[in-house]
Amino acid sequence: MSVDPTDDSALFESLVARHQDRLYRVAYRMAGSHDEAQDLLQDALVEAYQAFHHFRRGTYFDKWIYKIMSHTFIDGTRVKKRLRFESLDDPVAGDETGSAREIPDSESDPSVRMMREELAEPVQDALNALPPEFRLILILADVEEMSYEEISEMIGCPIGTVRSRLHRARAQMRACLIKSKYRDFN
Amino acid sequence: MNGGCGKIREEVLSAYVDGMADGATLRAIAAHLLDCDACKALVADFRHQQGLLRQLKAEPLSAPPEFWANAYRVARLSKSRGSQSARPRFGFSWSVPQFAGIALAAVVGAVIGSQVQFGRVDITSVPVSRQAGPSLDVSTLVRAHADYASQQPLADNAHLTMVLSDASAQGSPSDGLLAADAPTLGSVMNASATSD
Repeated sequence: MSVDPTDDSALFESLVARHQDRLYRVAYRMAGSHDEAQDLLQDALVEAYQAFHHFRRGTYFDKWIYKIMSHTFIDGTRVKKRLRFESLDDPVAGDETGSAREIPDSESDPSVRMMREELAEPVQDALNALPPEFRLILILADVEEMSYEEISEMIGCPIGTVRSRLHRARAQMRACLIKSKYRDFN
Repeated sequence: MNGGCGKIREEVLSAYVDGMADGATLRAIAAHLLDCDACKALVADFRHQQGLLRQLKAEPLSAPPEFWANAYRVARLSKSRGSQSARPRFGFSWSVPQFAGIALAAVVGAVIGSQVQFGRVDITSVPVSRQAGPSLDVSTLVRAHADYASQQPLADNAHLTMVLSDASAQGSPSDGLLAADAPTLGSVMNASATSD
């Protein structure tokens, strides 16, 4: 689909469309839920669209927008620290059985559902337990397989900081998985 | 939690998993791992964990179909509204002008507060004294406060509330407080409210 390069709106949308699956995936891993991922992505897209005139044509759009989303994510977690949120895992008030709220999984493919239950959910739970900066760097390095240089550019810190922060994130994640007695972590 | 043996820093072992070390360091670590079970187990855990995280990419995740169209619409709207809808980088959901207005109000309030504290501004025509409760003329205080509040919109209404509650607690007469010619607390608050 050809896009008029002078039409910012159409160009922006076409660039996002090329990376939207990965963008959503990263947003989900950062935020930990679909609702929060959509909020994060929405905020990031607004920021990116308003700053689109700063984007240099011909450079990597995905790195540029990941950078914006990373900053949006970290800024957002600082605000959330001041607010109290009701966790979906907390028992419903008046529910004497103490069962947590449950949202039915609409995924019909059993292999996907099994993958989610046995891998994605416990690992995402461990990710969610990490401080935001550690979660972000682990997602960029170990989920999205970005290099130290790419991560350094994205989050705006030296490679040495990437290395040390990544180690601390891994150590903390490992501790979470050991504590939850996740398979092969004893 | 068991870590390595300590002879090689864990951070170096973590970087080793990514191949992020010079050739000599990589060879030295590889040699160490042949003889050190603790470091070998730690590296194995880091690799295993990395493998689990990489598998997350395989989980099919996608936004609801209407998400992207809505997101673009919101982005275009926010840009067309200009700076009012821009989110400042410090993460609040207020717009920059709103935040600037509140910050300005806080500064002005602090200045007025300091003026009152140091006695440069007498906001009541009658000295307030807790010991002189029974003789307190509340209607005079309300009238004086209303006059002041109309001139100084950021006047401390909490002060008036405190004075009124003190007066009622000590049984002072409320004559004139509800009279037609006396301003009510509500009208004082409304008169001093800043309109947008």
